[in-house]
Amino acid sequence: MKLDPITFEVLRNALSNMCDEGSEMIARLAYAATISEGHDHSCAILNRKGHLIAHGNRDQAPHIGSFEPSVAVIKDWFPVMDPGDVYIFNDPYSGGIHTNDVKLIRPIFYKGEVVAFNCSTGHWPDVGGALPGSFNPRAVDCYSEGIRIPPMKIFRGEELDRTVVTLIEYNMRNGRERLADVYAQYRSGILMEERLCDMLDRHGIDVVEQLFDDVIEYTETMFRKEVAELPDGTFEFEDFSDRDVMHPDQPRIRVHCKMTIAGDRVSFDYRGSDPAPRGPFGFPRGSLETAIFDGTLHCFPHLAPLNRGLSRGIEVISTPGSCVDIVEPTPVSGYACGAYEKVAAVTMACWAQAFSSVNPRRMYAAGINLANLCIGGVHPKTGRPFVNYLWNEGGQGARSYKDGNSFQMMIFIGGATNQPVEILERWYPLLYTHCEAVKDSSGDGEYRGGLGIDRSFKALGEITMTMHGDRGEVTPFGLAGGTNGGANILNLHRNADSEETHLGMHAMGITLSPGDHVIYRSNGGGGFGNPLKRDPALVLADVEDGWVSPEKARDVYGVIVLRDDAQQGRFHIDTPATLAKRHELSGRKVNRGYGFGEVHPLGETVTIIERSKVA
Amino acid sequence: MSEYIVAIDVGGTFTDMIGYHVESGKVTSAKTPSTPPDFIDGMINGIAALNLAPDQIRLIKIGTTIATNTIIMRTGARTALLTTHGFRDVLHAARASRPTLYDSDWDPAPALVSRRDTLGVKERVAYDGEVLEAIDIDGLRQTAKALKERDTKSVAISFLHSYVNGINEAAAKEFLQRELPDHYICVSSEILPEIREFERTSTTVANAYLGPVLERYLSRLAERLEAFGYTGPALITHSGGGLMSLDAARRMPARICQSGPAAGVVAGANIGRSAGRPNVINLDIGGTSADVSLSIGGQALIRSEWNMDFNITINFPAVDVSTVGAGGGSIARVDAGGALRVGPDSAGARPGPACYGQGGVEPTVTDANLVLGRLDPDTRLAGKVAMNRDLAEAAIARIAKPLNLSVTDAAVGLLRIMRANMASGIRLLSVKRGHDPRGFSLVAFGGAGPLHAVGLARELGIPEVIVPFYPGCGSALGNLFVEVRHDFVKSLFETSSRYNLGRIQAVVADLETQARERLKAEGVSEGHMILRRSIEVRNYGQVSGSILVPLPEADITPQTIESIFEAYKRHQATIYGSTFNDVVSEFELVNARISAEGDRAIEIDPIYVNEPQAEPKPVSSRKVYFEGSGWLDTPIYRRPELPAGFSVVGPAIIEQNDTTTLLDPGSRATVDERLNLLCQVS
Repeated sequence: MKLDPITFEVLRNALSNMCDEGSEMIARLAYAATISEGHDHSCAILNRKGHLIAHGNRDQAPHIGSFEPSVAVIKDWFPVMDPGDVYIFNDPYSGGIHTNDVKLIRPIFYKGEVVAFNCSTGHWPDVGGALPGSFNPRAVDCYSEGIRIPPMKIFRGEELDRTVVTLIEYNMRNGRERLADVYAQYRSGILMEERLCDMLDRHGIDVVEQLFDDVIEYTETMFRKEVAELPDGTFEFEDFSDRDVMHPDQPRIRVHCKMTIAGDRVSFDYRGSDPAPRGPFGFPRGSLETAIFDGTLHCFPHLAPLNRGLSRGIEVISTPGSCVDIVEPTPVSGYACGAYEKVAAVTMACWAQAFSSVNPRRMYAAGINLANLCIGGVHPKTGRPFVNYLWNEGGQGARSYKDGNSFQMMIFIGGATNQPVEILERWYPLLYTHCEAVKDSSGDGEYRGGLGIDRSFKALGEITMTMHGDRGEVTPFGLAGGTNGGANILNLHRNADSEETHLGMHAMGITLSPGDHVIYRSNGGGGFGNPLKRDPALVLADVEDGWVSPEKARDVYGVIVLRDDAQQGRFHIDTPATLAKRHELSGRKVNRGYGFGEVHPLGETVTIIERSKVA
Repeated sequence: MSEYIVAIDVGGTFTDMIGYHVESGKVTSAKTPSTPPDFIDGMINGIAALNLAPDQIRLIKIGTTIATNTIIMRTGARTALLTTHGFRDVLHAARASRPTLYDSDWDPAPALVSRRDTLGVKERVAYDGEVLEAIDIDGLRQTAKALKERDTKSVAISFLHSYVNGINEAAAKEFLQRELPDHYICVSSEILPEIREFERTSTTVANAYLGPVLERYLSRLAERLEAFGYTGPALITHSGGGLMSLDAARRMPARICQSGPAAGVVAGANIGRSAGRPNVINLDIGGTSADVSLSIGGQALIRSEWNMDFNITINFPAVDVSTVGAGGGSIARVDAGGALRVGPDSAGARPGPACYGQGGVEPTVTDANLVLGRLDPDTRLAGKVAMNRDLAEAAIARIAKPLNLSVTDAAVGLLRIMRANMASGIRLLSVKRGHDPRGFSLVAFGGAGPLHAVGLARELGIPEVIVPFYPGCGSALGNLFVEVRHDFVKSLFETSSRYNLGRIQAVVADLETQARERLKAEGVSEGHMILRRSIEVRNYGQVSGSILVPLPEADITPQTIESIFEAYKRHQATIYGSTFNDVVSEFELVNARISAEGDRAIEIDPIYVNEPQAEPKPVSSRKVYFEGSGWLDTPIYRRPELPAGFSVVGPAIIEQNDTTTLLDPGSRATVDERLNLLCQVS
């Protein structure tokens, strides 16, 4: 660090706060509900070399690694830039994220030269393609997933280019509305330029450029110092996706990582992962890096927000053409519930092994994954067409010292929220039957995962429904002998039909008629440690609260909970019977596997190692 | 006789009192220790400390922290929640979000009702109000039986879509009132008839949780005031910056959760308005955090959504106060990367800053101020302990050493970082609300507000700081200004392409009737009622976010509705630029709102009593360190001695009982005719 530490801290905070302001402005001005309501937007500053310096504190983690590749492309295409020029861009392969995430990039000029870049991202609700919303589980290439916008100048000297805007408008559903989103991102860029130029006026270009270098060096130093304190070695983990959507008879898709720590250096080698499947699951290299950073920051939360310093401290190795490093034209729209969620969870499981003897609090089991349910049709009451995405919150993975929380968003979209039933019923022909925990859905352990939720509903009109999710079969893994959490579930109970049919996580083009009951439930989180070691008082409390049934308490935890009085909801523990039951269960064979209630074979080996035993 | 109004703010540590002589406008003040758990002794002691006899008082206005404390300490009543069958986890699921992106160790605040006391009842209403399933009274009887056997004291009832049709909730309430006569019962359609099931349920639950505790408290308060000899009215300030009767507070106890902070903002708005500054930023810096809020045109900004904790939502309209995690007790540390970080950890009241000598060793903002001579070691901050400079220096040395800085430079650095963090917080708040802080005056409250305000204003480009005469009693003073006010809301959901004019008229008329009845019940006469009508508008299809458009005070005609949409479009054009109008063609009337206020029956125009010197001289001087100037001999003035019209150029320090105003070189302070210090920032 070359600046004095006071100036450094003052200006470093100012940078991240200006990104917060810019991000806030996008949310306030955007038309798209995905941005204004879902907060799926980000705002960043990069230095003149295109290295990430700062982003907003509430931005979306999956966007963050795409800033550097995107600015690099713009720099490459436009060697000469003029003040007031703004570029638009969304190509997934060179930009490193799916097409819905549309970027506006503004070179920031000071005294006639480019001194930095502002890059903002908004998740646009539709960018064209075969299906409303542009997610397409049936895609076998990117051409049916919406329009790929190459680097284009959308503002020339602050003047909007009508041709570019019209190209966008012609290729997207409700394309005119996107103009408002362009403006939201554009105005945020102007604010960022004002704020940064104000800093430059006060402190001069030399101080600010030094600050950029110092910010990177600071984070890298912190990160390397902490990595150096972890034991050297190689730590492996793998997990699987349920299946290739477009090749369902193929084996499960493997995501494998070998993390190596040597001194203060760490590398993530994902070359053991499967080749890209036909259907949308994988992501381009930029998102691989983002997902590794995301998992890493969950284990080093004090290093957020991300900048170039962290990425400089991490080496990423992958094979082009594999599911975590796809190449054109492999489809990408399903990357979040596919490769991204796997890589983030697998990365955390690798770190958990490194931390197991040094700081076991940084060990986390896997939690809820996304199960995007797209509904569309014509509302029978208003006659208006509608389209919407539904998603569920669910169980957080257990911590090594405490239960995971129930009803949480996925780890990679912490800033998002659930959708109120009252709002959904007002806008769409749905009648919900549930907003209630899925009892017994947690992965179990000394600490259990959080519970999944049941948000089942009935159709009130003709609805076309498409599910694109994962973890219906390979569920969120437990660690240290904890079991895997409950499954993401999509079942259909037809009106006249008494049988409930299983639709699963890759259901396409299902047509619902009025009265059809859609059973829609989410993952419970994985457990941590041996369930037989769980404090019986915690098991009792779970039974009293109705999270866990007395039967599960007996069969999984070996705790015999007896009912005093059903009306009052009072229970007590039969201590002698519990001792006997736990003794009996302690000899049982571990049921290894990847499904709900089974013990993940590698997860089982990730356990707390007492420091005294390390030496 | 009966010539005084008494305004009281009951805080966690101190009870502040303001006595206002109605005829002369003269103000006196007193401060007494608060007396938890019931806080009433402290109030009675405070009235006595004002040297007022009960029959000299015509009105008592109270702000109290008791509701907040009850929720923070989780000492409310054991409460049951009844939900629509199948929707048992509306409360526990909350909005499923987290405050930070990467923190897997974060836990939501425990809900006010346990899962085991949350029970489903068979019933269902559709979004348009149609009753799909009448309430299952037999099932409810079983529920009542179960609750009777548990030791619940209170029941919250919140069913789906009750904001449109509360018939099932009303039936459940009526039945349970008979079955459980000793329970406090409230229903969401009466508490907050607004769409979004979690927010409405959470608000209703908070209300039920507080009900029995506040009922006891308010009854005892009434009894004690009577025993004291006071028979006039007592009113309580609610979170929206208005007053309500004790009776109304019994029914809506969750409405007073932000009583104190709301009153503080009203004080700032009024002080700004009377000084001719309608746009102010209120800044109240305390020990652990700073409260920041905006007032525009002399009115405190109100927001309809308010969270007591991250997932404890209480959605009554509340004064829009944001908290920045920086205060006198904020701790500075050098991290592993060699950067100096200030806050958000705080030394709090115990052990407090190192200089308090109560065992704290880590350097805080207060220690830095002491080391730089900005605080007088002999002043007792807000009645607390004296401060020890040696301990402060030793604490600052802990960061100076690893940074290779002198103690002085480290202290200056610590304050620079604190100031920058606070400035960022204020800037972010302004941007969120769509304002530029440079067009505002900064009103400084709290023990540490006036100490930091001038430097902070300079950082933000704010030209002027106002330090009120009683900066340490902002909330008590605010209670003096507060008038009876209530807010009413009802959902409309009508669109510009097809709306039912008759229904809009009926909803507004109904809200007006409710508003007049409420004001009347609170003792406001017909001629003194001010009703402000407005309608929330947004683009059709947007699920959140809306703009409040005033509804003119005339019959509602199709022209009125057209003018509302026109006003909305104009507003949009200013924020989005004109192109946005091309994009959207349909709009929605979301909610009708009425804010009902009692007109000032008594004009409040406080005159502060000081001990002015014709030509005040500094009482002493000391060395104070200023960035860019170094150690300067700085004159110390006593605030009570400064007459209106007096002016002083920085560097200078102006001390008063509970706070210190710091003027750096280049600033100038003038005492205005209301004895505010107006500090011009160079």
